[in-house]
Amino acid sequence: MMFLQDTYDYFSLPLMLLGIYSLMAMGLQLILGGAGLLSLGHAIFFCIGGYTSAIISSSYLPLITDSNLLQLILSALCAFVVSGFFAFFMIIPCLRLKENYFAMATLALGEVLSTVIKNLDFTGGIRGFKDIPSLEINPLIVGFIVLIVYLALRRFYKSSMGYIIRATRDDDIAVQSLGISHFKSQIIAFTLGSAIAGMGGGFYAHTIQFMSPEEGSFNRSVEILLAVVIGGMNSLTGSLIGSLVIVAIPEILRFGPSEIAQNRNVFFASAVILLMLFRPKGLIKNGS
Amino acid sequence: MYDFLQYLLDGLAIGSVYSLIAVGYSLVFGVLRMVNFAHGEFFMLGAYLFMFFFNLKIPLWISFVLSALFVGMLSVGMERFLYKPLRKSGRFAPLIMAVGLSLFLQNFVQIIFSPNPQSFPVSLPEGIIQWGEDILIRKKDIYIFVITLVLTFVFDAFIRFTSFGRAIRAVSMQPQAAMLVGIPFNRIISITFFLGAVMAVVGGVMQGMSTNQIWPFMGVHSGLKAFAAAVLGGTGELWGAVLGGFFIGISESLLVGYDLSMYKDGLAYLILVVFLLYRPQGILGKKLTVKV
Repeated sequence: MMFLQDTYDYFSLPLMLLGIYSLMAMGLQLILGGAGLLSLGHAIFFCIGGYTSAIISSSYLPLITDSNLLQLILSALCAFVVSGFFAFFMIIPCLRLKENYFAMATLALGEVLSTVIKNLDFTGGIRGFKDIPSLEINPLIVGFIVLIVYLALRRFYKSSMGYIIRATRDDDIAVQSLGISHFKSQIIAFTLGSAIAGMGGGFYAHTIQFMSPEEGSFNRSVEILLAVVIGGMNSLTGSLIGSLVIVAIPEILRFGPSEIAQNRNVFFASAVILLMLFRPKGLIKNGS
Repeated sequence: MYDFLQYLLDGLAIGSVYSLIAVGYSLVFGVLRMVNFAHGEFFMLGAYLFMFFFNLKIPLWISFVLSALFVGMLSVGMERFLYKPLRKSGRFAPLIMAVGLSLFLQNFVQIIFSPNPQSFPVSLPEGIIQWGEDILIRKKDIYIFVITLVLTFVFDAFIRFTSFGRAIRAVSMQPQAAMLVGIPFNRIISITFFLGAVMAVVGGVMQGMSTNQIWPFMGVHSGLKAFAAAVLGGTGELWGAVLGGFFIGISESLLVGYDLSMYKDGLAYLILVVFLLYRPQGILGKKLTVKV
């Protein structure tokens, strides 16, 4: 039994991180592979969600209920709604921009918001937000949510809005000529994708029990982008595999020489370069 | 009032560095309509290679020429073998490739040298000039400012008066028509990448000489601000990029001066967003027919 307990303790943090990264990656997959919008500021929604959970779970939620599970659910819901709200107001002006400019605008907005978080009082400023209650979060809960989000997104892709989103990605003029608003579908995809990332951020806050403004930095957005691209940006299942690669490889490399473990980003970057050259559609061809 | 003038002058040096990087962004955008996200890394690589050659006891000027040539060739190679095959494959492939390259180069330099900042072996002449009663100007800043202006004038003359320059302008106006009249499109693209990279190397070496410190992430840090400068000035406009660089450098210095340094790093991004949304053609740019 001791052995089982140790194994569980050892794997529970990586497993939760895997779940959190999968949530973020699935969110970005909906935006990038689904709607065809490149968001380089994805991590800021993760960060907003994390701070939302941190703030409400340390001051307000204990007033409502004693149950940890209920608090966790409420906290995740709030993270989902608040980050979705921010995403909604960010996307509307940005949709005027096309392709690369849209990407640069999301990058810049992400950095602006992260600067704001650094300068606010109730977020703890540059020192970060400490002592977030863990609410007994465990890999099972996170895994369950990942499964639900995965199944819901699969279903969403098969719905009429799912088809409109992908049709807009392929040819927005054709969609407009059918009298369907392409803005609406893009707004829905971006808001939903960012809100899912925000929920991931909420779980992250309870897992690590600390949030800092750096969590929303461009580096993390790139990490998630790598996960989605490695898995194939047109495949929802691919983004799960991509997150597995991004989370598992550093864990495996820990047993090897430390130089390799420290420089894992070189391997990820090379993987992206090679994928773009030889398999720009990703490792998994079709899906979603 | 004296404070204000002082901060303004302080901002010119860092603004010069942004300008030198922004020029490359702007030119490459002009000919290919592509955001070369990895451009900031040329700035970082230039500084590191210069340090590497100089530490091998190679004379200063030769180290500089070697690092400029090396980074220039690298940028041409990158364009040839990594960007060019992607011109037809999807909207995001080039930008994602550039993000990957940027990450790769940063981490590669971290492995070869070290993730920590390193002290730069050469410094510009120290010294302070007093102007009037209160205003102090560092001699270093004057050197950087003058070198930037001279280089930009040379570059401007190159674009205006040489046949290569005319070809670059022709390609950025109308690529198809330029090819029809026999301008070697791919060679012009290579030259543009090469020149942009060389300007960034000058910026990187000057940054090193001025702050006496270089680190692997200086490229992405200053590069993104330089991109904001290029958009602010109007992408494709040489002097626009230079003006944009000075504008961002001076605004940052003013923020630091008036005790708002916490907001310093967000400012360039705020400018970028505002200009992308409300004046995508920049200060100097003409209204583009291509929607951004």
